[in-house]
Amino acid sequence: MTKVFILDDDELHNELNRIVMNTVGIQEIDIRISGKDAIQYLEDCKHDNSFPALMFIDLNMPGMNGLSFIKLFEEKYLQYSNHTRIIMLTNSILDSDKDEAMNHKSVLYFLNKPLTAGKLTEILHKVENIKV
Amino acid sequence: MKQKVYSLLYRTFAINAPVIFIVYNYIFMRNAFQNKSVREFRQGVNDSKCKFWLQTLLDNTLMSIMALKAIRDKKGTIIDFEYMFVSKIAEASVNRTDHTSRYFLKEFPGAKIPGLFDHCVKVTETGIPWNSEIFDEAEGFKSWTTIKTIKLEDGCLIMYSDITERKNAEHEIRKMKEELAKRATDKYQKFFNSVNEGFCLMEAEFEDHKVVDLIFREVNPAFEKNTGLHDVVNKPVSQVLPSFKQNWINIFTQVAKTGEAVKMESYISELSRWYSISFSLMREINNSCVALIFDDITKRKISEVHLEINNQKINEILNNINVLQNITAQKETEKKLKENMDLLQSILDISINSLSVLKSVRNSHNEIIDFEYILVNKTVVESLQKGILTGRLYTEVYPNAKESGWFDILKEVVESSSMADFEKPFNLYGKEDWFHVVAQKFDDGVIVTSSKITQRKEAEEEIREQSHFNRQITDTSPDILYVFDLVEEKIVYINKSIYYSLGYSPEDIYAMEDKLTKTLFHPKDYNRRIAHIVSMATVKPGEVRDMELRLKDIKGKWHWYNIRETFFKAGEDGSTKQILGIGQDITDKKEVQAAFKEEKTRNEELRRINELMDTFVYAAAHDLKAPVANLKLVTEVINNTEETALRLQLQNKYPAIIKTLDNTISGLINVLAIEKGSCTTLKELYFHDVYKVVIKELGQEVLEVNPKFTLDFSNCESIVYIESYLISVFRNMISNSLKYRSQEKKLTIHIESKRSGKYILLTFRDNGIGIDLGYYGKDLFKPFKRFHTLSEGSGIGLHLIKNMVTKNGGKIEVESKIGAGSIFKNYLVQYNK
Repeated sequence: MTKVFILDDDELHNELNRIVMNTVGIQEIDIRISGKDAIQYLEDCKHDNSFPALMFIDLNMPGMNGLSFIKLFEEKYLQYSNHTRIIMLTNSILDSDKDEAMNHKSVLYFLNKPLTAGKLTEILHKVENIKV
Repeated sequence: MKQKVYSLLYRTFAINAPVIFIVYNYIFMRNAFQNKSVREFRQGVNDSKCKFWLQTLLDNTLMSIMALKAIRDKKGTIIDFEYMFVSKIAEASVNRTDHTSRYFLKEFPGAKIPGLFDHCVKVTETGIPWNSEIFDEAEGFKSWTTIKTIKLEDGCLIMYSDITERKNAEHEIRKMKEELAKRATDKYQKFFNSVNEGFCLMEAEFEDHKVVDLIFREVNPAFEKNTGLHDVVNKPVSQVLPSFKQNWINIFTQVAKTGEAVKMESYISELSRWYSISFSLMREINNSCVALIFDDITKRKISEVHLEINNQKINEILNNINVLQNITAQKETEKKLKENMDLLQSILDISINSLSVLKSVRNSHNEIIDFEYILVNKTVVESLQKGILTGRLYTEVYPNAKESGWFDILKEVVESSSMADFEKPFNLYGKEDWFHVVAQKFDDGVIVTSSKITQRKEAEEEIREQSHFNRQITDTSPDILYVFDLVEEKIVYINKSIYYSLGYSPEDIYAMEDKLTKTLFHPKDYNRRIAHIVSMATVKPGEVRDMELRLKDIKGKWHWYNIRETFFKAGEDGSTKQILGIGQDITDKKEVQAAFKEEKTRNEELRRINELMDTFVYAAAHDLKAPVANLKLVTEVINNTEETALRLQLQNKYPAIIKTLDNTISGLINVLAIEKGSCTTLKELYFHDVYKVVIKELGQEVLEVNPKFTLDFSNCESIVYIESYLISVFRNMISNSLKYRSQEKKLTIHIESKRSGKYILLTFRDNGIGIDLGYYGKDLFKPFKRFHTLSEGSGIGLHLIKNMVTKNGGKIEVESKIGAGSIFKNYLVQYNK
């Protein structure tokens, strides 16, 4: 069962994403809307020793932005979950953002919103190849 | 007696040789005819015929002759004389025709002559003749008489004659000769000095009419130099130069006898040198005086030419001297000569200028072909370094005298008696120097003085160049150059630039005098200018003070000038009297400056706008895309699902999304609107009024939340500000407070205004949920950063507000505590209307 994590401050968008994911068959979806909460979630994962396979991270968020979160994740939590892959899901069209994001080894894709079902399927296929 | 008279007559008539000759011959022939002996002849004098001859002789002689016989008293003392006979002339002179047997004392006017009687007595008694020349002045008429008295038996014979005419003639001659002598003396003085030889006067010392020694009476400075003998005056040669004594005495004797000068060359052992010595009789002084000219010919033995020339000159001198007759005058002249000579030499030698006296050298056609150096001063000798110049030829000393033109100049001076005064370059030792030369005719020659003026010439040239340069600078300089007199308050000098810059000629400016300030200066600058001028009284040399002011040109147009002024001339009291100033037209510069300032402001504005635009664009990109992305998502899911329940669920999302979109667009439009309208509306805005407007605008939101407002604008009621800006500030602050209110308590919003330094502080305080500034801190005012997930709409708000406030120098500060609330301090800078 694929476990997915969404970090985005746009709650409506999160809800929509959940719907889309449901249609594709992903049921286990954790959503957080702030970096602070997200970090707490990671701690929980660590505690439970159960990290999601995919993390959909928004770039521009108030407080901690997406990249900061990714950095933190890689620093502190990657060791516990080297199977986790991150998808940057953002409205940003800046190449600099993309380049910087892709520099991180756990970042699989840099995608523009919205996340379509088709895209999601593609990602799942990719991930499945990666052993849990 | 008569015989004796006769013989005496013979003797006394020795002076008048022709008379004697005639008389004697007559008598002799007469005697010869009669073949009588002299004795017989003499005896025959008693003869009446003899007596007749005698009388005739006596009558015809021009001399006054008187024979006197002594009259003695009982003691034998002569008390009177009796006239024995008197010549006709004598008779005539005393208006008597017959003196015979008259008594001397009683009668003879000569008795008037003081002491004549006594002299006669003395002559009678002693037999020593007495001669004299007597001067008498009667009725303003001067007369000279020569008188001679000799013993005649027991009596005397007096002979006298009037020599007034002769004396007068003599006097004239003497005067002429003095004149001549003086001229000669002047020449002599010059020669005397130029003469490098030692000169001395010696007087013979006699013993029994024989010369036994020669005494030095006078020497010239050269004498000491030449001979090395000092302090010889009044010393005899036997003491000074004993080896020469006899030799010189011999020469002296010879000279005295012949009257001719003698020259000899001898080696003086005492001095170990060769000398050429000239002896010449100084008859004018007395018959026992000789002049000796010493010349050290140790060197001259080599060069005979100089010797020859000098000797010629000396002879010339001597010839001139020999012309003199008057003894005392000569003595005086010589004394003066010596003094003048010393003085002359000193003067000549002190002068740093060259002085040369040149004599013309003429050919057989009397044309001047060269010059000979007669006299030069020390400077010439030292500067030429060609040794002794005296006697040498000009063209020999200056080989290129003729081609350089100097010779012709000097020739011209001699021939035309004109004076030459010129400055000319001359090549000496290969270096060209400038000389100022003055040449003046002197006898048949010229006196030339020259001074080297190369330095002066160079300095002059430099100054000339400098002035020319300066003049060029001042004339071509576009800047106005002037000298202003602080005391007289007028321009004393201004360069031509004034014409090109303001249209006034320098003359116009000078004519303005103290009306200058009022005519040219801007009224707004008067006071500043006057204050500046007053302060310039203390400006020191080298100190420059400047100011900017406006000047009006002749057409009335104003120009900005930068003037820099400095000390130029001090007054008598030491304070600055005149200042030198330079004025530059900076009108263009000022315009550029103003434009630049404007540009700068504009640039800053542009930067701000650019920043805003970036933000705008970014916000547009992000904030618009989010809802659009949502819309896309919703649409896609709806399209891909058959589940009506899901469809419905999703469809319900549309309004919210659209609202978000709408708000974002509105917010962005608002930004543009504010920016567009910002530059024009500056108004005095009352805070209370603005508050009311914003509350109305926010409308529903405020009503729903219904916060408690407390307002305090008592400290500062209004501000001159951009209306749209101030409205935005209020709206944003209140809106945020509404959005981030606490759910647990009733929202309270406190708004107050007060002055704080240069700012007007507008504070918004609420009791909302607060902001974790530690977490969000620097992002707070960054564009589109929503600091709370609860918020809706664009996060552009605070960024925009900050932009507005800081635009003209203001700032925003935040204080907040989670759960307690937030305080936003807007430090606004009032606009100048």
